Order: sequence, then structure tokens, then C-alpha cells
Amino acid sequence: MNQNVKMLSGLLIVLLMACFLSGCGFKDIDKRLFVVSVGIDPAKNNSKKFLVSLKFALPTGEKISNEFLIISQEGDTIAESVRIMKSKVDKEIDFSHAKLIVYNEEVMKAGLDPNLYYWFIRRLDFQEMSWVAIGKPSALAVLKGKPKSERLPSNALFLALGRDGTETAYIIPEFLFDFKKRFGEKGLDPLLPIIFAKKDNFEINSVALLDKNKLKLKLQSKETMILNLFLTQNQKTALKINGGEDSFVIDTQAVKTKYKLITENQKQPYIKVDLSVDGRIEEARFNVSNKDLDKYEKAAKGYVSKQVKAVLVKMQKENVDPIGFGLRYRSRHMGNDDWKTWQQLYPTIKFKVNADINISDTGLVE
Amino acid sequence: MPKISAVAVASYIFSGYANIIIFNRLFKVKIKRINLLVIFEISLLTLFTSVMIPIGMHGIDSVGEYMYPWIIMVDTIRLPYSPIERALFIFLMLYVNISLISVAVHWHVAFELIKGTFSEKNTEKKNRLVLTLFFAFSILAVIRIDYMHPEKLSMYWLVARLFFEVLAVFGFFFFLRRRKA
Repeated sequence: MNQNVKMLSGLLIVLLMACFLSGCGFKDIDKRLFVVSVGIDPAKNNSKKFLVSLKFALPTGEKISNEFLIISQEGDTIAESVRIMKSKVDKEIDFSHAKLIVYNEEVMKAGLDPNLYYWFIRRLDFQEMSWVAIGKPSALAVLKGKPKSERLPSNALFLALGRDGTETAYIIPEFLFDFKKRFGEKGLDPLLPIIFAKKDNFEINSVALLDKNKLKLKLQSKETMILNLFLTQNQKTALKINGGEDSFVIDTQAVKTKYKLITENQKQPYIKVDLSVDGRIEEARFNVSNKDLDKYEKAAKGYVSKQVKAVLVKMQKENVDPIGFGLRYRSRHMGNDDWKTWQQLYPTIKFKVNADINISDTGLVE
Repeated sequence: MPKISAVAVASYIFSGYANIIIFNRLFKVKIKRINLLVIFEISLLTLFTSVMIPIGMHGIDSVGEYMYPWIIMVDTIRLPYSPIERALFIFLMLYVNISLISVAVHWHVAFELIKGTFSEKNTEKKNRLVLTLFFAFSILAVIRIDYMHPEKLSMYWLVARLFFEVLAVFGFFFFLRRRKA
């Protein structure tokens, strides 16, 4: 046999072997329905526990492109509901584009069933980096929302939560993997942004704080912004100083937040929080002058420190720790009872907040 | 005391040196010290990232819940400005490539070691027979892998490997001394 025949016969064998390959049950894209967001509500007038809703994106022509379809099903678990939902649609349900999981607040109040987030982690097709949030008035209402500015179904929320579109300190986005991590981590508690569904738009400017089990505290929008200064470095935001006639607003260019736990050899252990803000005056109720910047800085320093401290104390009173002071404590202390010591320490610990505010100028006008 | 399986799994990452059994014959010139330093540093960096990053992403207390912490970790990375938003798919391709390279290297080493055991001259036929056995075993294993408890099997293999490696290192040390003496 010469070389060519040998090679050809080898090739033939390989080709023949390809006949034994089986397909992998692949379904084409036109036979799939893509889920963009998932909503979980408590079931009403039903013996089942939850009402699970899926929002599917529907492919359409150019003119309107945020068409969608919502299917809901009661069930005791998400898995059960989804299986029944498969009989309500004509195509294969595909979760690989589901990027938002919305819970109803009621689900959190009695204690969040771990399966309500473990199910998403356990499934292969869900992204770990989908966002989780609380939906008001209900999760279904958030899914039904159809903002005017939206091009693709649910995309408005993705843009807002992902900071690709609007960038604001009032939104604290929370990823699924981080949410799950915070449930397991001693000294770091879960938090969820709250989405208010309105008629033509939505509002995300508050945050719900949970302990390891249930919802404990909801922060106002201003407090949310202050909490975000700890969670995300270099927030661009505006700080309003003073309430009355002498109020002014600082547009922040750079915010740095540092904290240190001072617990050793102290009669009164405390957490030293250092806030450094660089910015310029954006708005004032009175005539500002560049000469008096020191005065404004001083006023701002006292005011901001007080506000930050108020938020920290509010969270301490509910014994929630979304910033992770406990985790910091554990990382600096060896020993088997470090977590126990911290649990005793946290409710009584003091906060010493020092805001360092640098105002560069008063803008283009005095 | 840590379990023997934990020690075996943890030490596996350092066991790449075992391949030098075969590859040593290719090092004709002495390796420059700077190259060794570079390799050392890259390995240290790899080691550091593969241990620390999953812990950071999934938390100290709950990272142990995941079956494949490193792969799940990559799924937490979002690339908003790349064509594919999920870094997972890019990483999986790299991961598959690395696994294939590893398979190729190990097959080569195993093949060369088996060839070394032939008392007579190597013939083409014998080599092909060994390779056929390799292929046949892998294909059969892949078909039945789900029912063979792969994680249990690999654990036994890792523990066996640990003891065998210690034995091999000491063994070769004595062989070398006897040859010199």
C-alpha cells in the first residue's frame, strides 16, 4: 500500500466513526424562550407558598422592541413552579439571560427560605452575577414595569443596577453570588436594593438590610447614599450640608472611606471612621465666597460626621452589619472565640466619625 | 489533624515536578537562575490567585459549599464592555485547553515510562498496542464515568499518588547513590 492510500483509508475511518456521534439535544434559538427576570411573591388565595413569575423577552420587529410575556405559577418551591410553567409555554425555557431576581418583601419578613436563593446558585444555567432586589409593591409589578425609555425587556433595570447607564450613589446593586456569600459569612450581612415600580418608570433609592434570616431594617434614600459611601469607593454624589437657610450642596469628586476597629486595651472600644471628601460647592442658599471656604469646610465636617454616625448607629441598633465590621474584626483576631467576642462587642461599640472635607472652589460663580 | 485526603489534594498542585522523570533528558544545558526565578514567581502568583480569589468572592465561611469554586468564581466576573458579558465562557475555553495540555503531557510521560519497561527493542507494533490500550481505557472510562463516582475515584488516586511520589523520590535518590558508588 502506498502512502496516499494509507492516509485516505485513515481519513475514511475517522469519517465513518463520526456516524456514531450523537447529538446533544440542542434546541435552536427559535425554539427557545429567554427569561430576563424572575419574580417571587407569596401566593394569594392558594394553599401553595409562593407565586413564581418569569418574564420572557419576545423577539419583535424594529418599532417596539421591549415586548414581553409574563407567566406565573403558584408552588411550594421554585423548582415545582418552573416545571409546571414549562407546560404553559410552547418553547424551551432558557434561563441563561435571566439577570434579575426580584423578591417580594413579604417573603423576607417571616424569614427567607434558603432555597429561594440556593436554587439559582445550584442551577448551571443561571448567571452568578445576576442581580437580586426587593420589588415593591410586588415582584410581579416590577416585572410588569415597562419604562418608556426601555429598548429591550428589563434592560432599563439592568442598566440602572449595572451602573452601565445611570451612575448614582443611591443605588446599591447586589449580585446573586454576593447575596449568598453574605448569608454564610459571619460578620457581613446581606442587603438588597428596593425597586419601586411606578406606572412609567421605577425608583431604586433605598435598601433593605437583612440579618442572616430575615429583613430587619429599611434605610431611607439619604441613608442609603451614606451606606454606599462605605460599600463603593469614589462615589460621585452630592452632599447637602445643614438643613435650614445656611444650607449648601457639595458635589463630590472623590470620596474615600476608611475605618479602623480600636478594641484592644480600651475601656470603651470604638470604631474610627475616616471619611475624606473632595468636592466643590454646587448650590447654596446664600452668597458664597471663595475666601470663606474654610468656614464651609468646617460646617460640612460637623454635619457629615453626624449624619454618617446616625446611619451607623441605626444599623448597630438593629444588629445588622452590611459594611462588614465583624468580618474586619475576625480578620484581625485569631482565636476560637473571636466571633463570640465580636457579637458581644458590636451592640455596645462606639463610633467616632471624622469627616475630612476639602472644598476646592465655589464653582464658576461666587 | 488534617485528613490524609486533604493533604493529598493540597499537595497535588506541587506534583508537576514528577514529570521531570522523562523531561530531564531534554535539559541539555543548565537552566539559568533568572529563568528559575521567573518560573518560581509565576507559580507563586498562580497559587496565590487560585486560593485567594475564590475565597474573596465567595466568603471564608461558605466557599467550601461549592463543588468547583474556581469555575463558579469566574462566573462572578462581569465584563460589561466585552463582546461576551460572562467571563465564564472565555475562561472555560482556556480551562479546557489547559486540561488538554495536561492530558497530553501526562500521556506522554506514561507512554515513555511504559516504553522504558520493554526489555527488548521497541517496535512500532508494541508502541501502537500501548496507545490503543490508552485510548480504549479512556473511552470506556468516559462512557461509565458518571457511575464510577469520579470524585471518590480521584481522591483514592490522589492519596495513592502522594505515597507513591514520596517512594519514588527516595527510591531514585538511592538508585543514584548506588550508581555513583
